[in-house]
Amino acid sequence: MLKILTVCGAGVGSSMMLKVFAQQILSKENIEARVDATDIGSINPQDADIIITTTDFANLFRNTTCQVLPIDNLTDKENLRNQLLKCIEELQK
Amino acid sequence: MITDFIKEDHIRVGVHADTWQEAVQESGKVLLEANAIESRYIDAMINKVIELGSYIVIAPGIAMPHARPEDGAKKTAITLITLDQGVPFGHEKNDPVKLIVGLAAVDNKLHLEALAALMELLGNDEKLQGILESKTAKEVYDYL
Repeated sequence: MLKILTVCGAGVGSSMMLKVFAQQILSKENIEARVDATDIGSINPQDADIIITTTDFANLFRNTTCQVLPIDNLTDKENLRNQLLKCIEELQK
Repeated sequence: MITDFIKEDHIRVGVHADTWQEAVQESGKVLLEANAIESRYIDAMINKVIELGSYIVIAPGIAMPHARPEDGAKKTAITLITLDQGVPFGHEKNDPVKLIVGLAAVDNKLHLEALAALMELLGNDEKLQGILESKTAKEVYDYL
């Protein structure tokens, strides 16, 4: 199953919101995936197919093999939706 | 419900802050007055930014400072502060910040739906503008 990690500094704020939004988007599209929120200190990029995080953290994952989605605006769910669905499509090619 | 966690007395309008540290402190002060945190939580909110950067600026003009439950959170609460002028947080795209969403969370579940609903509300430009231009806490509260 597709594994998605949402990441932020403390693991209780933006990462949790990204998780909720990602789950909402995926369930609407009927895409099965496991979404977990975590903080930047405890993340293992190997655990994920896709990482969703804010731009400053996204730079830290430049060398990983998984897809990284940098999100600048947490109030813009449409942008997250577009990026996430595009990314999943790429992965399934 | 957003208003389960944001009470009218969790809102301040037109607060003055010269630096992002002051802005976070003001937001922490309201959490403290609401008895949602111990005072050390405020230092943790500031240290998170020093340590990890301006990632708490979650949208254009909006910052959400917070620390971890074990940093002295006593109950889950959200506060809203509008600033009298924009304050730079050192974020590439989203500076300057005019709205501070202060968050204290005792776990990572309770506040989620309220925060998600708040984000959708703030994603509505008209409502965000209305909140930023509100002259009283009551006006802001009515948007929630």
